[in-house]
Amino acid sequence: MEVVHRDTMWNISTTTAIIFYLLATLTVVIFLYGGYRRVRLWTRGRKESVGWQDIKQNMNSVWQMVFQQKKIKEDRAYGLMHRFTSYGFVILFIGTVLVFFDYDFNLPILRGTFYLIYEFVLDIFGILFIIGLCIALIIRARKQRARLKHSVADSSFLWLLLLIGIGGYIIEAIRLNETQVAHAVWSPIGYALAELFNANPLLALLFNQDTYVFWWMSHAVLAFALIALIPYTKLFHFLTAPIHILFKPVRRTGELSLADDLSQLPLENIYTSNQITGVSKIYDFSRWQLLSTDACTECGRCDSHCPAYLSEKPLSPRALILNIREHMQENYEIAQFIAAEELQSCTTCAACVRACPVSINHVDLILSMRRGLIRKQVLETEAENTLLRIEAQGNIWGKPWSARADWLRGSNLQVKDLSKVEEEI
Amino acid sequence: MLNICVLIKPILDPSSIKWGYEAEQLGYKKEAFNPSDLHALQWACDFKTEHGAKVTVLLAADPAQKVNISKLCKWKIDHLILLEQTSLVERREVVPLLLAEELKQHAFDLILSGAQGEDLHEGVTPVKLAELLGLPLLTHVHQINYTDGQWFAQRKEGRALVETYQFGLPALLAVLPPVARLRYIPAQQSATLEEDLERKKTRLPKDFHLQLTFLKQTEPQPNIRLFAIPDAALSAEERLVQIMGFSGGSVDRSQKRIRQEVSEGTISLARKMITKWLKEG
Repeated sequence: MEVVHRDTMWNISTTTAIIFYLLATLTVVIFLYGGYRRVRLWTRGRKESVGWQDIKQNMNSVWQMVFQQKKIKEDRAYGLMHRFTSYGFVILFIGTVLVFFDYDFNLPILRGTFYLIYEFVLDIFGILFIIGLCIALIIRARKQRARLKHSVADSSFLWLLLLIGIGGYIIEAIRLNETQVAHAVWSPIGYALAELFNANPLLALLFNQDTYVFWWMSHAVLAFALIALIPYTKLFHFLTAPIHILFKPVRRTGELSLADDLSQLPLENIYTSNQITGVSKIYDFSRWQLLSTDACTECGRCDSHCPAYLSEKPLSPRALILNIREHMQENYEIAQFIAAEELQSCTTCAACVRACPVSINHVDLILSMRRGLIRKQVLETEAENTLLRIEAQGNIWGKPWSARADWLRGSNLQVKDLSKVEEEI
Repeated sequence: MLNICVLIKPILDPSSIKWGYEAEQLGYKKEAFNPSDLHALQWACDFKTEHGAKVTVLLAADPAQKVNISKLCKWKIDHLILLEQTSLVERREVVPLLLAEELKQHAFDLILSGAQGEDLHEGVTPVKLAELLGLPLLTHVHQINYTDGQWFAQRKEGRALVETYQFGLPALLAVLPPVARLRYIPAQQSATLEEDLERKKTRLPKDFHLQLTFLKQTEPQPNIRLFAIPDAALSAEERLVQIMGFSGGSVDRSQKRIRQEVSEGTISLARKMITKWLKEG
C-alpha cells in the first residue's frame, strides 16, 4: 500500500524546476546580501558587550513580546490581525522548509499521518493568515488608525502577502482537483476550493492542469520577491525584532554603561570615551542601538503615546528612529538630520518605550544624542546656566558651597566632618 | 589672524570664602579664576570660532598659590603663560609690572581682561598696564563688535548712557561679564595644554622698591560701645530709645566706653546687661 506523501513537483517539468531553483538561489543571495548589508552597518557602531545575564533576563521579554505579542494585543483588532498573520506566516514558512527538506534532501518527513496533520495545520493557519491580512487591509482602507503610514509600499506588502496566500490555495486546489487523492479532505480549504473549481466552468477554465504551471510559478515568483525584499524593507523586523529583544543590554534607560576595561582607565581617558561624550555622529551609537532601529515596524505607537508629539512639539519618536536607520551608510553628523529642538522636546517619560511592540528604547537614543549636544554646546540657556552653577558651586542654584551647612544653625543636630572621619580611619 | 591675549587672575572664589572667627583666618577657600576674566576668555574663544584668531592666556601667580590650570584647558586656548613671582599675594601692585614685561615680548593685537577682580574690586591692573604699555584703554566694556574690518566697543556710563567707541589695534579692553555669555564646556572636552604651557619664574627689577608693605589680613574690628545703665525711673521704652542712641545727644561717646577687642570680660558684661534688661522689660 502506498504511503500517503506530498507530490511536490506534480506537473512541473524539469525546465520549470531548473528555473525555479535558479530563482530560488538568486533570492537567497539577494536576501543574504541584504542582511549582510545591514549587519555590516550595525557593526560600525560602538562595541557594547552583552552578557549571558542580559540574555537570561531578556528571555521573558521574548516570550511576552514575540510569542504572546502582549503589547500588540492591547489594540484588539490589530492584535488579532498581527497574531493571525505572524503565526500564519511562521507556520507556512516552517511548512515550506519541511517541503524543502522532504523533496530536495529526500528525507521522509512528509509521509503518512504526519503529512495529513501537516496539511490540515497548514490549511488552517493559511486561512488565518489571509483573514489577518484582510483585517489589516480593511483597517488601512478605513483609515481607522491615525498612527499608521499610508504609503504605497505599506499597502503593497499586504497585497503581496495576500496574493501569495491565495496563490498557495489555488495551486493546492488545482492539484487536489486533478489528482483526486483520497486524503484531500485533510486540506479543507484547498478541498473546498477544488470543489468550487469543479462546479464552475469559468473557474475550471482558469484553474486546471494546463494553467497549473502558471499559478505555481507565479506563486513562487511572488514568494521569492517577498523573501528578497525582506532585508530592504520594514519586513526585516520579523528577524531583527526578536534578535533585538533577546540580545539588548539590560540597563536603565539613559544609564551610562562603562565597559569593564573603560572603568579601569584614568579619569581623563574615561571622559574622552564616547560612552560619556554622547552621540554626535551615527557611529557613536552602540551596535545594539543601531540594530534596534532596524527592528522598527513603523507602526507609530510611539508617536501616538508621546506627549511631546501630541502637543505638536518638534519631536516624533518614530521619525527619529527611521532617520537614524536611513542615515547609517556613512558617519553622518546627527545634527544634519535631527534638530536639537526635537531632542530637547523629549520629556523622557518613556511612554514610547512602553508602547513599542519591539522594545526599541527611544529615550535611551535621545539621551545619548542629548549628551552629544552638550559636547557641541547646543543646549537651552537655563539648562546651561544650571550646569555652570553646578560646576562653580556644586549645586544647581549657584549658592556658595560654604553655605551648605547653614541650615543646621540653631539646631541641635550633630554633623560629622567627613574629612576628619577619614583622618581617624 | 588676530593675536588675542587674555589676562586671567587667579583668585579665591569670592562667593564661598568666609572669615573663620575661630581660626582667625579665611576659611572655605577654593581656587578659582576671576569671573570677568573668564567672560573675556569666552569672548576671545567665540571670536576665534567665528573669525579665526590665536588666543593666549597670561596669568601671574604666587608659586605657593594653587592655580588649577587644567580648568582653563577646556577653552580653545593656543598658548598659556604662567608667570610665577614669590610673595605676589602681599605685593599685588607688582602684577601690572610683571604682565607688562611679558606683554612687551609679544605682539598682541588685542589684550582683554576683566574690568575688576571679584576679590578686591580695584580695577587697577588694566589701567596701569595700559599706561606701562602705552596702549589705548577702554574700561567697563560690555560689547565688542568687529564689522567690516573695524572695531567698536560699547561701555555704559552712569545709569542710562551707552558710549560707543571705535578703536584701532593694538588696544587693551577691560570688559564686563555681559561681553560674552559663559558657555558650559564639558570636562571631557579638556585638551592637554602641556605643550603650550609656559611657566616663567619672574624677578622684580633691581631698582624696584615697594612703597607699600602688607602687614596682615583680619576681619573688620567691631566697635563695642558701653553705655551706662539707664535710669530706673525711665520707662522701658525710654531706656530702649536711650540705648539705641536716640537720646538727643545725651549719649556718652567718650573713648573710655569704646572697646575694639572682643574679650571674655566684654562678653560677660554684655551678657549680664542684656539678661538684666530682659528681666526688667
